[in-house]
Amino acid sequence: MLSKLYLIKKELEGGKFISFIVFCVILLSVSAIISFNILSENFNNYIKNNFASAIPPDEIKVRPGESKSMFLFSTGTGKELNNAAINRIANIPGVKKIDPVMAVTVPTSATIYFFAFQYRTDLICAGASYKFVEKDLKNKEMRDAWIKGTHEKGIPVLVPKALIDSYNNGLAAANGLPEIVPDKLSGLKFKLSFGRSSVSSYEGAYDSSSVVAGYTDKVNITGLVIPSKAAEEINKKFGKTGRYMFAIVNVKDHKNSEQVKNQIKNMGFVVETGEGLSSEILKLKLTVNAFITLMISLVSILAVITTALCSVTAVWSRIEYYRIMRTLGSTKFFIALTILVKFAIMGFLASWGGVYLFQFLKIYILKTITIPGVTLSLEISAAKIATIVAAGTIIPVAASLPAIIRMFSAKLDRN
Amino acid sequence: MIISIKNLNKTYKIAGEKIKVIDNLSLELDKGEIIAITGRSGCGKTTLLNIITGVTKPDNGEIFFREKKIKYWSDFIMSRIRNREIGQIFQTFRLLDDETVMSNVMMPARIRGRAGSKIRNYAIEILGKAGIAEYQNTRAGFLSGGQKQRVAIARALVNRPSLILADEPDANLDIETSMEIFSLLEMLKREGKSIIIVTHKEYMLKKADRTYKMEKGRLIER
Repeated sequence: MLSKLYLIKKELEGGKFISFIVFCVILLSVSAIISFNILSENFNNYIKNNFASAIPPDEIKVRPGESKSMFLFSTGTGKELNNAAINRIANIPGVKKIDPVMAVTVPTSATIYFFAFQYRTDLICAGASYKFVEKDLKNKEMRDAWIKGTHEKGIPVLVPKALIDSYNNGLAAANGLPEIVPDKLSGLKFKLSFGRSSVSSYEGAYDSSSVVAGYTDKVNITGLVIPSKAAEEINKKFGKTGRYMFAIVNVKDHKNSEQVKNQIKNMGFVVETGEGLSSEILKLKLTVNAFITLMISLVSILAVITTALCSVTAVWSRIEYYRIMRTLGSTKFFIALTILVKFAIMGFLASWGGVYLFQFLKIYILKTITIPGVTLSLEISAAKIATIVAAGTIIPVAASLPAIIRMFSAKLDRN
Repeated sequence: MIISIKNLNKTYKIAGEKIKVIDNLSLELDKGEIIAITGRSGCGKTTLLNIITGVTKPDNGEIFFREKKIKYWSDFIMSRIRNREIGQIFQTFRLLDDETVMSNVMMPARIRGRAGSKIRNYAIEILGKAGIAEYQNTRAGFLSGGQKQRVAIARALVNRPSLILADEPDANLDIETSMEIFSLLEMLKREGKSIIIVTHKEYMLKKADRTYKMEKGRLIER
């Protein structure tokens, strides 16, 4: 085994100049691809934050069917969004995922104590899954609480941004009250009453303490968002069946959007999509993204071609070494393995080098580049790094295959 | 019997034309025997050696090694035989010039996966027999032609093969060094090694147990 490793080490040491070129090509390609990726992400975020409507184009918001009646009030003739309906929607071809937001269908009120000040208000509650609001939960403690559905201080709640805005811009401004700072909301405790409101009271109504886990703009209701598990339990306690306020449906791509939308409409539900996004902006977004994809593909193709040419040169320049090794008893398989291992190690190290180079340059980029109205984010996710390093390792290995095949097909079968 | 070749054929296709290099060739070699093969350039001598080592595949025919039929289409089997049973010596030495003499000699043992101190001591012993033990840490590229050929012989012996194939081992050497190299080969014969030597030198042909001339892909005993 040690002898075989020695031979792999020998292969690694061979053809240093060509290896250096391959290393540099991969390192620079990886840096360029990361840069294009980050550019694309920042551009998309900019479009999303500044031009897009509340619903991104690949999302469909589904609401229960609207009540139809000759009179002002009806007893709920609209199509109900329940578990069966959610399952049917999830099974429509083109649907990637669905995040339903559960309605708490019992009277609910909240009481807030602030020194001597006590404020009680009726409100509605909605239950959201952990995955749906994960990014809005301030810390690990709250994230764990959301999964469990309860916290030692009470039920964790998320305050919708719409509610904060309407308080700050409406109630607070009109009554001379202080405004709420959204980031400081986390940790605030108050009392929630389930089964009791100013309008009606159910048998078995009870109070529960609760704690604010953060704020969210994913559920825009003038109420509170609680864990779906807690919402289910509350409904169950009062003998209510689960129904949903709305559901966010993610489609695989734009092509599927129209088809999925029509199918949901035909089921009798109300759908909202990101049509608010101006078509010119959408076109610009698509064009820029296509350009960036083209650039990434171009860099990748150039990297593949350069690596392939380098590997041909590297293999050819060492053909005499391989012939000698073969004469002395090396199998073709082992010779190929040493070459592939060499390119894999080189690709792996160069990819990491590229990632580190970008991380290093990131500080200077952030310092020197400022675009008014744009907050640059140069973070690369761990998943993206893993993909880049995997691709950086596989590309030189794949690119060296033609050289190896050519060498085996002819050049090694003679002395 | 170390090696037995029966009805071997090999054709090369050059510029669309089929050229038969080995034509229904048969050969047998006993333990401790030296066979010398001579013939014009391009007559197929090297091809024959390459077929025996498995580097080149014949079109058809049978090869028996120690009475056992060889599956010469299997790269794994032929590489194993080449590594363990056959030692090769070439006119161009085919050493790794950037490596030391010891590293060159140890290379077949490393490919075999056995490069411990036992083999290392054996390598020193055979370098001593070849008269170049003092150069073991010298880079092969710095040696003279004769010294390089001695290193090649030591390398051919490190895995204790039973068959030595020498393809014009004296081609690039002066007469005195050639004779020294042949003396080394004779010493190997005395140790029980079987040798096939391709040569044009008359004194080598005379000293061989059997001598063949290769003509039109066939071996004609002289």
